[in-house]
This record gives sequence, structure tokens and C-alpha cells, in this order.
Amino acid sequence: MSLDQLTNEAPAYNFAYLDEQTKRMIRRAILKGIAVPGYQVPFAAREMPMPYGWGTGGVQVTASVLGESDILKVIDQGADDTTNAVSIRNFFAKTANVDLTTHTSEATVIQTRHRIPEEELQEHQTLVYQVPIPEPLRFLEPRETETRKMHALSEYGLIHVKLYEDIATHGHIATTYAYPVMVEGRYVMDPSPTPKFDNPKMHKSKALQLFGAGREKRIYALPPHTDVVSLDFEDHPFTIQEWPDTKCAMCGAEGVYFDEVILDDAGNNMFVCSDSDYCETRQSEGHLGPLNADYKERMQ
Amino acid sequence: MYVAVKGGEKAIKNAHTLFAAKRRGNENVPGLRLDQITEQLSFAVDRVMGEGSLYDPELAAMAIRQAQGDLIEAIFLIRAYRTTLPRFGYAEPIETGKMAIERRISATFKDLPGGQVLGPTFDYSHRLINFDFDAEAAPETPPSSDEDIDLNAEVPRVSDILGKSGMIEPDHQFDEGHETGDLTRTPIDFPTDRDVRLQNLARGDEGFLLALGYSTQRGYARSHPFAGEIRFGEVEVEFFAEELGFAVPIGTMEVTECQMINQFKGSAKAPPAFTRGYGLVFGQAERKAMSMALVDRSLRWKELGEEFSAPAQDQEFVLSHSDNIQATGFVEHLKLPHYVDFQAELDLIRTMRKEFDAQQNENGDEPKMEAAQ
Amino acid sequence: MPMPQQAIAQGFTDLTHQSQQSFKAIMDAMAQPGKIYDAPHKVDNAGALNPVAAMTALTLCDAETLIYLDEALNTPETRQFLAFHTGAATTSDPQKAQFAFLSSAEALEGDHNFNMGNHEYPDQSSTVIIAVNDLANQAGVTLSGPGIETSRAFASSSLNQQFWQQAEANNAEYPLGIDHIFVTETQLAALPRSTKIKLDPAQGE
Repeated sequence: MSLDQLTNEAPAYNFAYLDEQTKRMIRRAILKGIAVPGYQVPFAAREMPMPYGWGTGGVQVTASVLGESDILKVIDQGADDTTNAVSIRNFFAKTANVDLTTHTSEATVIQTRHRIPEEELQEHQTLVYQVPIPEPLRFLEPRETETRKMHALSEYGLIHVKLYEDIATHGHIATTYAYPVMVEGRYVMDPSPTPKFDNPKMHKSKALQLFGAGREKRIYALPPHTDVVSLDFEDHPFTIQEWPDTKCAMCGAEGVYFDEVILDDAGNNMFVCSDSDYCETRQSEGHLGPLNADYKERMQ
Repeated sequence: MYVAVKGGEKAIKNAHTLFAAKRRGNENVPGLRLDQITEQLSFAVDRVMGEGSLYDPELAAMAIRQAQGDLIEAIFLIRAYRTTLPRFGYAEPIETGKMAIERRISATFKDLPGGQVLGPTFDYSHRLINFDFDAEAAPETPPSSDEDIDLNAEVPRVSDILGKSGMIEPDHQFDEGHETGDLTRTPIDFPTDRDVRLQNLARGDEGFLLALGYSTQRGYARSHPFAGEIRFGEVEVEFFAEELGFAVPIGTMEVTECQMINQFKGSAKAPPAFTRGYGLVFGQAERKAMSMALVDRSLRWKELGEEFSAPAQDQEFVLSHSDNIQATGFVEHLKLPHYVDFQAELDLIRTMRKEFDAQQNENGDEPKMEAAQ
Repeated sequence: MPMPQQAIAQGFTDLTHQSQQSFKAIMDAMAQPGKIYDAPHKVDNAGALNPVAAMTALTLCDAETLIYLDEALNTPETRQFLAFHTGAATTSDPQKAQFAFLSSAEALEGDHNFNMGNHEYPDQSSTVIIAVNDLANQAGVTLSGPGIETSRAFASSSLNQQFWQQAEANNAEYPLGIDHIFVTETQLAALPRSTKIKLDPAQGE
């Protein structure tokens, strides 16, 4: 190493912020993650200019896969305009100057927190999840040394016992989000804190799914067409959330994940699509829900 | 009529503008200059450099000013900047035995080679607010050092003096071929060796280490510590230049080193001897260096064959929670929207309450509460 | 870093974007085993490495990785190229290699000593980049598993029955195992350890 280099000025921020050496390190981890679906690959996560827990893992993964010609979509809680989604999108607009979109179908890379888009993803798309606690066994066993052994030995009795205790106490499984899944019959994986409603979308998805946990320094992946099965019992099969007789107040959609919106002090509420792009697309196609401003007009 | 909440982008921009105005405060008050911070708030600068893990007083001052004095926020700014810097290599180990001493005290000997040098310190000051404090006034000229103490001479470390008589365990030695770890390049793999533990503690939150160190004094893994030596001063940093074939000095830095001496009665694994806990921190940061030394010692329980009984001994617990940038990020991330998961939980609680009420009715009891609508 | 004695071939001309494009091809190949991708960049005159092997090295290797080269590839020119452009050191111990570059699959026709990872860290395994003459999605072996919707036919004239038996045994050790990247002069395809392999009995050599 030359002494001259020590005195040189630091270079300007690189494309997509990360330096090339960091990207290479992350890319190597991504390849291992793809080769062993559901296994958490340790990686030397860097400090990012946003706080740990606010998407640093997802941002590092996105920064390492993103190219000039990509079209990026960022969502949080299913919506493109939530504050942290806006903040992360602006980060990439500034550091990578890539094209941005809110339309699921147009995006080549989608970074998400807590949701999977309603629209089915395709083979040319990559979905990047922000993950706070990548270890599905962490709340049962806080020690990394122990959970690592459990994964090594496929020793997943503990998590089944936990789910079974739920059934014994409540008559059903009481886990509603971050619901653990079994990947290709080998690794129990945390799907990130998405509602269990989204779990079936992970199974044999056509898109590549990448998971980044910055603070916990782990990356894992699901290649397209991978078996992802939510844990359950024969007599208590896995079920997803349902909203019987509920339609989106804006677009009239049924069978989607809903946000509940409180309308007044009396607690009156309505339900709207959590996926903002899905809802807006439907509205633009002429589907209207009962509280949509255009609805009354239409009815007359 | 319902309109979905929009305009996250505008809200963020406005929030940042408001915050910038709050940072500046009353514009009739002169703005803070960096040299005022580096010269007059040196302990803040030292803490930010230490936990930020980057030795650059001016940059630390910039971060403190930008963070409005929130030191953890300032540390975060430094860390996020540090990680973008290209890495040329590792410096040679610094030689604290050759430190230009500004302060050096030992609680274990009344006098010792090199002498006790009280130096600049809060110690023995009466903590009375000085209502007549004049920020502009020139301070009294400090006295020149005693003639019999040569601050430029090499001052042997207390641990080295004790080591000659075999009263204290020798300096920690790794097996041949051990490569010093770097947790910024390789994630910690538990259980981890002392080199990585010390790196983690050196970057760790002062308050967290202080509390843990304190807990060992109160009996949670009591280690009978004595402050063998605390020294603060300037050391030279050297870098091995391949084209020259030898190490060349590239600058100096101030560090605080603490060698804690701990009573040890011996165990099946080790003979009775004094043992060590070690702390080393950028700048003058004695509280941090001492806390670090206490925690370093308590983490060594296994190697010394001691009993495991307390949080300060638990390396997964200590090392996983010492980093205040990780901690603050994850605690504060609770401010982010979680309404998708909350909706899932709301749905579950409603179902469970319905079931509860149904069961109560069946048993002929009145429902205690009405089911949520 | 000492100056090289002779001119070293050019690496990427636009490090950031060419690395990204090359990685994208490698990532997609690993995510869809057996699918054949055109290499976005070909790096010529990289010692004995073929242009796509060289692209892979520039994309994935650096001072934090150790490289193994088989005998035909282990020339001063190759080592010089790798040292200059990636800073990666080479090792003669296959166990220590994160990446192994092979001129043919010969080393994998039977027992080998590349790193399979371990049960606690299956990621600590070797990735093996093998130069082959051709790649085709036609009758040869049938691949299935993660990344493949139903099954995919795959063949290369450079890969014989012994190799495929090794690859099958490799998959049997899952989640341990090596991951393969096949490189021709212009194309690449990957075979991670997760892929199940069905040998076509008619294809014996």
C-alpha cells in the first residue's frame, strides 16, 4: 500500500452509495443465500446513513443489486408514500439516479417493509425485504450460539412446541405476522414482519426474493420457484387473515390485505387496500368503492 | 369523504427545514464555531471519536454541532462517514509504554517509577456550579511540572512492573498465527476471542459499559478490582509501508489506557495471581476506559475457570447490546409505521375476545367487557 | 503494490457498472440453475482464464478472498492479472479457496478437496468456476429444485458422467456442498448445491 494513497482525499460517494468492495462482499453473501435458500448468511453489514432498524439491510442489498437501467419501487406498509419509503426512495434517487416507479408491474427491483404487493411478481423482478430480526427462533431462544446449532441440526421442535402451546391456550395459532416458514423442507425462515396473509405469495414466487438484516448482519434468499411452506399442524392447518364481507372503500377490492381507517371519535371505521398501487390502479380502471368521491357520481 | 394520507415527501422536507431552524436557535446568538467545540468541549469530542471509532477531532466537532449536542446522534454521523472511507491497511499496534504522559495515576502504589502525575482532571474538584464563571477570562497559568518528573521519559506500566515479579498474569498471548479480528469486516461469531471483545467494548456505549462495570462492583460477578494504572497522553501511530519495508510514523493521537488489577485466588485452570482487565479509548475518557476494563475482566470468566453468574460475564448479551448506534436505531424504529402488523394483531385480539365472551356466556357469566366493534 | 513486469490486460473499463451487470448475470444464473446467460462483459487476455471466467473473477474476488487455480490456469500471467485487478491472493489448498477457477471439470470427476462448508456455516464453502466448451438446454441431465419451475434439460460436451455423479453426490450433502459456475468463451450458467440432478442413463460416455 502506498503512502501517497493515505493522504489522498476521500472520493465522492459511489453509485448507489456503497463502495465497490462492500458491494462485492454483499454480492458474495447474496450468491450463498441463493445457493442455500432460507439459510441466514452472515455478512459484514456497514453503517448506513440511516438508522439501524430503518431498512439498512434492505438498502445494502438493493444497493448491491441495483444497476443503471433498473426501475425501483419502494414500499412500506404496502404504500409508496409512507415516510420511510419516501426517504429510502429519495436516497436511491440521489445516489443512484435510477428510474423510480410506484407501479408494481413496471419495477425491476422492489424494496419492501412489511408487505408483499398484491399483484403477482414476475421472473424479471427482484423483491428486497427489510428484516429487523432474521432469526425465526430468536424469541424462543435469544442466544445465537444455540439457534445456530438448531439450524445446523434441523432441530425445530421448539418452534412447533410454541405454536402448539398457542393452540392449547387459544384454540388456534396466535402468530399473525412474521409467521415462520419452512424453506425447501430444510430451513425454518423468518419471512420478515409481513402479515401471514402474504406468506402464500412467497411460495414458488416467480421473482427472486432477497432479505437483508443490517443490524443483525444477515442476508438470506429465496430463488424463484422455491417451496415456502408456513408451519402448521394437520389438525390445525395454516390459514391467512380474512375480512368477510369487506370491500375496499376506495376501489371495491375484496380478498386483499386491508388497512383499517378510523373515521371519527365514535370509532366508525372503513377498510382500504394496504397496497396503494394496487388500489390506485383499480380506481384508474374504473373500480370504485362506496366511499370513493367518484362513486356517488357514478351511481347517479 | 376519505382522502388517503399523501405527501410524505413534503412532510419530510418540511420537518428537516424546521429542524435546521431549531438547530440554529436565536440568530442573534453567535453560531458555534468548530474550534470552540474542539477547544472547550473536549470530553464530548473525545467520546464521539471513541464510540464513533474515528480519530478526527474536527470532524467530531462538526458532528456534535450538526447533532445539536446529541452525542449518540453525533457518533452516528461519524460512523456513517467512517464506513465510506477507503481502507488502506491496519496501523502497527500503538506503544502506550512510550506515551507522552499528561496524566498517570496508580491506586495500587503510593509511589512508583515514573511518579504519580495527577494532570488535568475533574477529580478532587468540588462540584459546585461556578456562578461567576467568565467564559472569556484567561485561566490561571498552569504550573510547570515538578523537576523530578520528566514527562518525556518513557514511563513503565504498572502491569509491567508487577509482571517482573510474576505477581500478575502475563500479557494476553494468542496462539501463533492468530489474526487479529475486525468486527467491522467480519460479523462476530460467538463465542469470540478477547481481541474482538475489546474492539467491541472500545466502540461500545459509555453508559452501558458503566452500568455493567458498576454491576460487577456490586457483586454481580465480583472481580475485586484495583485501578492499577490509568494513563492519558499522546502516542505515535505507525504504519508499515511496503515500499520502504519498515513502519513510518503517520501521526499522533491521544488515548486513555486503564489497567485494572483484579484479585484472583486461582482455579483449576490458573494459579493464584493478579489478573488484568484492560481498557483503551481515544482521547481522555477515564470513565469509559475503567468501565471497559471491568467488563473485559468479567468476560474472561471462562478462560480463568470462574463461575458464570451475571450479565456482565455473558458475552453474547454484552457484545450484542453495547453498540449504541445499533441500539438507538432499533429502539427508535418503533416510530416507523407498523399499522400492517398492528392490523393483524387487532384482528387476532378481536377474535380472541369474541371467543372469550362466547365462553363466558356459555358459563352463564355476564361478559366483563363488550367486544370491540 | 509492486509494478508488474509486463503489461497486464485491461480489466473492467467501468468498474462500477460492469461489475453490477456481470453480477446480475451471475446472480440470475445462480437463481435459475441451468439457464444459460450471455456474459455481459468478456475480459480478454486474462492469463489462462477464459473471458467469462475473468469477468467472474473481477466481479466477485478481492483482497478478502482466496483463489485456487488448477494447474493449467496457474500461470504467472493469470496470477499477475488476478493480483493486479482484484488484490486476491492464490492458494494451493482447495479447502481454503472461496473461489476455484478450473480449466476443465477434471478435478471434479470423483473425490475432491474443495470446501463443502459445515453444518453451522454452510456458506463457508468453495464456489467453483469451470471453463467448458459449450452449454445447451438439451438432453443431458435433468435439473430440478429451487429456481426451476418444473425441470430443465442441461448439457455440456465438457461434462462427463463422472462429473455428474460427483454433482449428484454434492447435492446429496445439501445444505453442504460446492456451487458451480460454468463459463464458456461467451456464456455462463450455474449449478448451486441445491439443484437435484437426474442423470439420463442414455447419456453415458
